[in-house]
Amino acid sequence: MSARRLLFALWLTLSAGAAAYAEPGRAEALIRTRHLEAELALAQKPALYAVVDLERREVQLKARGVVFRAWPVLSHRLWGGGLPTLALALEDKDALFAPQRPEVALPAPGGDAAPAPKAEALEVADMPSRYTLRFPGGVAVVVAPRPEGLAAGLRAFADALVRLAAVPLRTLWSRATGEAFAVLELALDEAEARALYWALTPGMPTLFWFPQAPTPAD
Amino acid sequence: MNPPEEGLTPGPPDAPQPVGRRRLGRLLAAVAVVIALALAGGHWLASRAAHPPLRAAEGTGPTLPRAELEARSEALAKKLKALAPQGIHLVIDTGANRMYLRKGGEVLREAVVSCGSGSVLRSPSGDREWIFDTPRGEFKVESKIKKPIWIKPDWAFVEEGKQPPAKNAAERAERGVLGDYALGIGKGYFIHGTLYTRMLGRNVSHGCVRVGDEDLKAVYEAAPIGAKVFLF
Repeated sequence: MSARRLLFALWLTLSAGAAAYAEPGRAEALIRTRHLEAELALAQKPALYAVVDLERREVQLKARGVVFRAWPVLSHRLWGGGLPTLALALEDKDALFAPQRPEVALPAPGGDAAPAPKAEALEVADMPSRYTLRFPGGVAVVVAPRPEGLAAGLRAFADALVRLAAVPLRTLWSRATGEAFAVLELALDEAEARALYWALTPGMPTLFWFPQAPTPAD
Repeated sequence: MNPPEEGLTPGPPDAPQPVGRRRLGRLLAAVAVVIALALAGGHWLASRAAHPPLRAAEGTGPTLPRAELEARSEALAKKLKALAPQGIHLVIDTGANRMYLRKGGEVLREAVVSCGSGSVLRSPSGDREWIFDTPRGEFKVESKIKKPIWIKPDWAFVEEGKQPPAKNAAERAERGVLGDYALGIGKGYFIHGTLYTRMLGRNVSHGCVRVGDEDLKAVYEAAPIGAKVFLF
């Protein structure tokens, strides 16, 4: 093959590749495929996993591809980098007032009466409603109840002020150091936020699914 | 007339400000501009960074066209759907203390249950500790027992302030406390009956799932050995 023909073949290949990449809707289709591949891999294992599905505006607890419980997301906000399409294992749940396990009181020595059934327990109502779920790669999900009433409004205003400074500074720091990060803020009903804290356990694989915003490249 | 105090003599109202103060003012203004620019730049970067919200470029896949990707997605969605349990299975919400007897996507029965208290028991010597959580995840019905006898584990004696007896001691066996039926789901955990029916709906068990008599009978009769049990 002559050099001219080889160059022409190379140009054709590259053009076809470029055309495939620039095809409208391709990026969205690619992300959806990756998401489904990741979910299928999880669903084939005998374990629970979570999906933050912002297309349906809910956090889902799933196994074998079935949603067993879903918590409605009232509003959300993403800042920092994008979220991965691969599953991330929940590393930790950070809360200012993390629940403490009650300790069973032992009967006094020599007492022979069996203890009555006790009501001291760790229940959903004891779970925090404001917390951060930490994932690898600098990904964090901040869960908080939707503000209601004057005190909650003031708290939301204070949060907004903090965010005003924190978002750009964290972004600049990330750019300077090269450390990826993404923060997803979710507002849930207070009771639902507590129930979600209860249901998510460290190590649980979590997938993120966003409605793909159309971009000029699409 | 007293002489003016040194250092307190006010200057004329239109006197120029000292050079040091002007420099400080300019410096503060410059710092404010830099901070404002940094914040604005950071906000701009943050708003750009989150689009697209998902990182599509992860991994290296073939450069398939959109139609092929969509066909692949459809096939994946079908495979995912096929994994859903079709037969009888149990779903237990340990936070809400509810158990659902399901067949495919249909809920056949909902029961109020009692799951683990999450409390901690420590032996008097402090060398042993038990946490009374109901396990989470996917299990299956491994055994079905009528008129089960409770073989009391060590913690049951410790909780009563007693010394645990030998492993096979007769005093470990206790009848009538687990109800009429028990379904073993592995690792020593059971779905069984309870004497404390008024505590159903509360987290009071030692990790097993306590169920009321009628619901227990229905679940025992409906769920075969091998039926999946999902606990969350």
